[in-house]
Amino acid sequence: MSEVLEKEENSIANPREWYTRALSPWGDSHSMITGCGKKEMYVFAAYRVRRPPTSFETYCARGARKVRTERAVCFRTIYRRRVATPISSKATAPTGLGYVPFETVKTFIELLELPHGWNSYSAKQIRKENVNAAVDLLRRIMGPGTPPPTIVPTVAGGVQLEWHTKGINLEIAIESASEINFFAEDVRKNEVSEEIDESALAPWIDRISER
Amino acid sequence: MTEAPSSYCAEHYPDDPTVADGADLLRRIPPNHVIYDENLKQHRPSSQAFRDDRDGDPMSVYLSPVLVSENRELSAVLTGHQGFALAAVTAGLARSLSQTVHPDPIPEESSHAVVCGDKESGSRRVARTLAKAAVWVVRP
Repeated sequence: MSEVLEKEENSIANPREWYTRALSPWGDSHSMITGCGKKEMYVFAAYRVRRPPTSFETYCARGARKVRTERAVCFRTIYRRRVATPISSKATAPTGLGYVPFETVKTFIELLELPHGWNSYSAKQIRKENVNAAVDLLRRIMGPGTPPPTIVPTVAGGVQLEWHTKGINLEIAIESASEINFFAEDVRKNEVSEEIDESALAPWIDRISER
Repeated sequence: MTEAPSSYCAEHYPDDPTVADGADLLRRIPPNHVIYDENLKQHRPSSQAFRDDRDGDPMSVYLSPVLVSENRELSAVLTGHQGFALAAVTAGLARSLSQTVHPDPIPEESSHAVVCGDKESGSRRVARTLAKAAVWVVRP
């Protein structure tokens, strides 16, 4: 978990993604995440996950400090690295700048909390190495103009990144670091690429990205 | 032209022709498998919702005709699975994708069946086709 957070620390922040959130709960019955966000010139990320019924587990990145409130143990993770030059939310950028949206990281962390059999059948727990591989991949292929992927867990303990926009269907299933399947389709041009590899992704990412 | 189901499926989970092509096969969809498809302008299941189980068993579904014949609500198969949605595809569509539809009643659910066939490698389209064609019975 901390590795994921630390990767977020190293990502290029986009002001569009910066926000603050009061320490109010949201999430599902298995987890509650409080107080995460990015603000001003600093990047904040803090995760507090409730494990039913009453215990809590805190995930913090390196350099985090915990803060106590009058109600309960609370915390915030403060990344002290200063973002030197805010990036315009409308800036055009090529892919591969290492940009991973904050909401995407949050979703990854939620997936890591899924129990065995989360799909009501026999799905495996999501493996951290697959999440890390997904984060690494996104860092390589995404730019500020790339919309965040929809992230879904796979029954084998992997993750699938999906984009369905601008007439493009793009799916990347990561079942292990060495088993990554790509599928790309342009429904307007009736063009399908099923066995592409990462090197062929760039044109597809460009087609779904804002310019 | 429809390819024949694999010999494994034909042997272990043979297609049951008494399940009509128009019969709905119900599949529980967990909340994290519901995606918004901007191209279709609607929420639908992810293709990952129509993969085989990882314990080696083919994909589980529930036969709507069985539920109807037992005067049960289709949503009965969601009992105990709060937050899940229920999607339906037809048996005919599954068969057209080289899948078998094999009734497989289990003690806790008489309508249980399996859809057997390759959904991954060369026919990775199978899961995607099922996902795009799925109709919500119980919306997310």
